[in-house]
Amino acid sequence: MAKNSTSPWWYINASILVALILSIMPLPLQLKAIWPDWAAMVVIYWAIALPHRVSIGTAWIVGFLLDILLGTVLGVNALALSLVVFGVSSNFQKLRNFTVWQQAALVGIFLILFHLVVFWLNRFLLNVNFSVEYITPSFTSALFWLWLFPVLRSYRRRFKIR
Amino acid sequence: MNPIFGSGPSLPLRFSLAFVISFITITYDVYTDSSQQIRSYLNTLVSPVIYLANLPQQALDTTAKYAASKQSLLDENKTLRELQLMQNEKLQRYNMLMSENAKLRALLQTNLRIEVKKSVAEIMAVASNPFSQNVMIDKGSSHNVYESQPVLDDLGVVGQVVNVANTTSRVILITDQTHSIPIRIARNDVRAILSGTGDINKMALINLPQGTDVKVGDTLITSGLGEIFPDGHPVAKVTNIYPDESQPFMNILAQPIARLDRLKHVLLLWPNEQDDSPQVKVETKGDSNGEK
Repeated sequence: MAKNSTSPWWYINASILVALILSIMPLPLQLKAIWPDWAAMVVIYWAIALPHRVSIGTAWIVGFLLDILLGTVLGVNALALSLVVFGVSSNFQKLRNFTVWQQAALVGIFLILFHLVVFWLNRFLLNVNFSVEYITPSFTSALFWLWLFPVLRSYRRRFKIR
Repeated sequence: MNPIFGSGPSLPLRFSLAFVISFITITYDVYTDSSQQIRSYLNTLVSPVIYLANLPQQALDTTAKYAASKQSLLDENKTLRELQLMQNEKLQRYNMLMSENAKLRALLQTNLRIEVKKSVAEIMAVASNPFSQNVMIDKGSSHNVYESQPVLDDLGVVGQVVNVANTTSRVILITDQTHSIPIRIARNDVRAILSGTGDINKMALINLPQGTDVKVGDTLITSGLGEIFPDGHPVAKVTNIYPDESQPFMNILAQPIARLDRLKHVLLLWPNEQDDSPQVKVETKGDSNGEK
């Protein structure tokens, strides 16, 4: 029984760890502008699939880890990801009933919001200038959602993560 | 077992909590100095993830090394040998100039320039976020790396260390939007400040009054002011000058000389520590080559 209640976190954390590694992978400059937001996508998936486990708390921690790994001001990604997951968690039942294509579009919009929040905070804190490259990853993320969603769903079903 | 409605505090409450905590950490990180300490602990904590993220690249590098053909290795060896010969010849002259310079400086009664301690670090090539351009290197406080230490590559200035963890540290590049470096123009010693723009190929020469003597192609070298970067290292080359007499200051763009977009190894400098070992080694090597 005890094993049943702890094991789902193992699988969830493993997927988040892989996503974090993918997020900070060394990449050529050209690819970086279109590299999807793996960590944010995986958290969004779990927030839709297992809203009683993954919610704003997890999102904040993952965002904070991103802040440490990317060297941004501590709390910027955490706040942006919490906001996005707040939106996702409040609407998880609607999101579940959409087709994958509709989900992809919505995930794209959520991630645009994510990047804009990160940009606004950075604009306020570090006075950076806007460049379209800051939100282009949202579009590739939306495309990759079509692939990531079935992969994570079969992962969840296979290991009976509930 | 699988509740439709999550238990615990409501979503708006959780979000408010997350908002408040983020607000506190952001304020703490931006407006206090002690956050550096905590950041270095956190960086040490997550360094396994960074090493993991770096594995694919290392694996690729290793396979590339093994897959390299014998001929290409021989070719590379040959070019490197030729390069070494050329550089040794330059070094001979450099040593002569060094002693001459020391003598002249002694005549002028100014301080001698010392050979500073250096060490090579490898870029862990961890992608950075678009708002700040930085790279991780594989040396940390256990290798005596310190905050605001100058970092160079074989061509010019790369940046400076911003936070130090145990075995890794983060280097902010000179092209970062929040970074500026004091420089002088090599041709005429005009001093100015060179700021990063966030674009890896562009830097801006700021606050130079109209009519200052700057030309396209001028090399900008560190001025040694600010006491972070030692004097005389190449930083950037002037690429564009936009004339607009109505503005109080000139609008000048420069391109960094260091290859910031394809860094693999960098040089860490300890400007305040003298180093005696490499100098001797190089000399003996040059001599033995000469005799052969």
